[in-house]
Amino acid sequence: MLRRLLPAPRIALLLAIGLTACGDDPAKKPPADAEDSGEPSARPPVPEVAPGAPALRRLTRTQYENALEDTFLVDLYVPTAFEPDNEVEGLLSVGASTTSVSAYGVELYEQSAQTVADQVLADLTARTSFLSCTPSGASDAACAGEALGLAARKLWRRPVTEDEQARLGALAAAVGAESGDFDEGLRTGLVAILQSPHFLYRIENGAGEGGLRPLSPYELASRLSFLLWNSIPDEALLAKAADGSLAEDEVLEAEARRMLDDARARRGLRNLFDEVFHLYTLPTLSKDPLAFANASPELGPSAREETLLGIERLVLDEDGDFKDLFTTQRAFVDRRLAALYNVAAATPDGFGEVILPEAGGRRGLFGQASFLMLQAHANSTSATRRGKFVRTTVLCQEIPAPPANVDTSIPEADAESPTLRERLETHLSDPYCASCHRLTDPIGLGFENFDGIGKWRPTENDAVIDPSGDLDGTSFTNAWDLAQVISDNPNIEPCFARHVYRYGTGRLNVDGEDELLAWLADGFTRSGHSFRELLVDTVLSPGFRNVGEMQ
Amino acid sequence: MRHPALPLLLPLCLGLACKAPEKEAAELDDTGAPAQVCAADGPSTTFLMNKVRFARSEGGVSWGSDLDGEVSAGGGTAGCGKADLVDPEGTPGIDNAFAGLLPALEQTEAAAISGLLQASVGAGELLLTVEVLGLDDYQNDDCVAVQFGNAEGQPLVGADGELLPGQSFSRNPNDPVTRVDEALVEGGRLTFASDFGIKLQILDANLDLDVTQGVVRMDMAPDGQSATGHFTGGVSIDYMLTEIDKYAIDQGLKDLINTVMPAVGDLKGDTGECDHFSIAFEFDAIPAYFYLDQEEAN
Repeated sequence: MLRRLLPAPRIALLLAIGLTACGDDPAKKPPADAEDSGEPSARPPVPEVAPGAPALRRLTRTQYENALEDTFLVDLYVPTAFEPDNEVEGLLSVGASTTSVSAYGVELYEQSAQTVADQVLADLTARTSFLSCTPSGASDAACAGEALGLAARKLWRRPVTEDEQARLGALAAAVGAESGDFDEGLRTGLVAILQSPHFLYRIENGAGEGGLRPLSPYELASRLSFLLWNSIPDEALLAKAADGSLAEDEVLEAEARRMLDDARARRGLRNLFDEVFHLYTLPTLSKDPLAFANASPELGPSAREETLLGIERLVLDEDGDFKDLFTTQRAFVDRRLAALYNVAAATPDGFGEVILPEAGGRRGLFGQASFLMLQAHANSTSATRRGKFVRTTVLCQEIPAPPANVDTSIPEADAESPTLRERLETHLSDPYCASCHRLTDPIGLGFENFDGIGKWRPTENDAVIDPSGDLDGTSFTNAWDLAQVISDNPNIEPCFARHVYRYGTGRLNVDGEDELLAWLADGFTRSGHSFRELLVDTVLSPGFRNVGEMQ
Repeated sequence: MRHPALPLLLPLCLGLACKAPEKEAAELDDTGAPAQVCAADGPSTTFLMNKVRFARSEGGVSWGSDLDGEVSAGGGTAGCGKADLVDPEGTPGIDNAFAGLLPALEQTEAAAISGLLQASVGAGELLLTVEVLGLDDYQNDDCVAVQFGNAEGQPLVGADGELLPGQSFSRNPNDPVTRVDEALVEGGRLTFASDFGIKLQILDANLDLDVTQGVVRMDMAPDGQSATGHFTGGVSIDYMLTEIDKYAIDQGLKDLINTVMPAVGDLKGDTGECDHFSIAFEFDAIPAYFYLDQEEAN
């Protein structure tokens, strides 16, 4: 296994920084095998793992669309009405294992399948992507079966049995005979394929007995392609599954690296962070235009794109230190975001790279409008939401939900309490509230120089904002400092290792995977926080290639 | 065209901490060599005039500048016999003859002339910029350079209907930038001499006014996040009448302009005749930028 070893991971030092938070603290779990000598210690062997039970994941809407595009090679219109994807612990990919489909949802899938089939048959590129034979007549079962079998192989991510192909061909032939139109039969066959559970669900049963059961080569190929591309495997990957070589370490690693170099990896990486950072909600995020002059329907999509472009560049183009995400002064902005950030836009059209000046007080993910807009109210900031995001999403600490019926409102601003800091005093002085708010609010107050859509503001209600505070004993003076404090937090590595693992396996991790997650986090650190290596490491890990006992 | 009032304007202008445009002869030092121009190094700040309006006169008070260096009470030879105004700070000799014509124009079909001026800002047709180069301190800086020009682009308008501050534009390649070196900022105030062009719409007439030998004065907020000011200059009466005549606008309005305009000339042109009238605009300004890729290409 190829892995870069970078000098002096300072895990021991970082572990020495105490953390106090509700619930799990991933930083307590990484093995402290790094030494203070400056020389990297040898990486321990992969720990044994007892993975969770297999999950049956429904395709998310994005995966559904990507699968169609990769199969038929054109961008197809998919009706917007679908039953919504479900989020579990912040991830749609995990929620996909828990969602059910109502009778109405089945109807929606049928309607979508029909709409898609119509488009596929009407588009020459899409049509020829799977129809290579010339039908002898309206009821040519062999030709229809061949074409539908090819489409099904791609969409179902596995070989189609002779029986399945024959049945698809027979269905198409029957409809073709009745209608006198070969295409009508083909259409019916496509609709059937697109409504099949083999398309709509990701089946990962594994094989064998016991608590560590390997995925079949096709199941593994599918899990790999959805992790890295958020879509179906390509022919090359299916070929490795077909000859069984995908089970070999070297082949699996080579495939993972090939796929990371493919343009589709951008789509995959985007989806991962769309989910982890909840960016997919930005296009529909509503802000009060009376409170924020810069608010506009275009701002949310722009903010989402900025964050995703930065991650793409950092991870795929440069394979840089992932922690730079939190402290970089580089930003990718369009005109609208540049105006919000009060910097010159790089170009009149689209997005361009700019360097944020230190005087602007803004850097990294926490200076981006995506975070600042999402973790705020419609007409104001929210120190609690911003702090909670840092704790739960970036540091993977748990913050309990507020008790039922508790009044979460904060007082209106007045002369005595012009800034949010004063108004939140209630939260922090009331022991009932403070148990959790002391974990979130001091962090969130560090971002108070940015309003509810991310525009810099030195004052609130004419009072100077005090953004200073401390995060678990490490003090900061403002958001610029706070970005570094968060970036230095030892929870970052285990947290993002956990995100990737959960995203890739489609379920929450179980106790039997704790050591593996710590091992992945350690590898992430040793690689100089290469997110690419974290992805490859995850793919090669036994937790990704196996499933636990069926439940 | 060189305005005959320039010799009078320059001493005044220097007193107000500004310099003539670059195209004028460089000053000489005591040895006869060209005086060394201070280097306006360091950060630059660009202000975009997001609100532009005609400077109005009320009770003889109006914003504007003294373009001819004369204080005229009217009736004599000074100021072409036209009475000057006083600005709200009490400065006499303010030239703004157009302010006297404006109420009459607004009684005609050109009633919306002020609104149209602002509308052209919102439409991106009138994007005047003041670029202050080497500005280290918004309140006091003894060496800055100033570029006055037009920007291009469709402005981003905020939810409040105002142009968003901090937005970026292209430079207008067809509009030469006037550059003034060795200007200074005192108490946030920057004053410099500059020609400028301004688009003025009167009903169907789209006039590109060539405003000569103007003076721009801008007061910057201490944090540099806003500015206010005014600019004043002279417009050829002949040009105005010729241009207006080209358009099919209401004949009554044409008659009014043809009758009144020749009578408002308060500045002397090349011929020494009082064939120019002064016009002053007030403005508010916000920070703005030029696109980085275009700046790098330059």
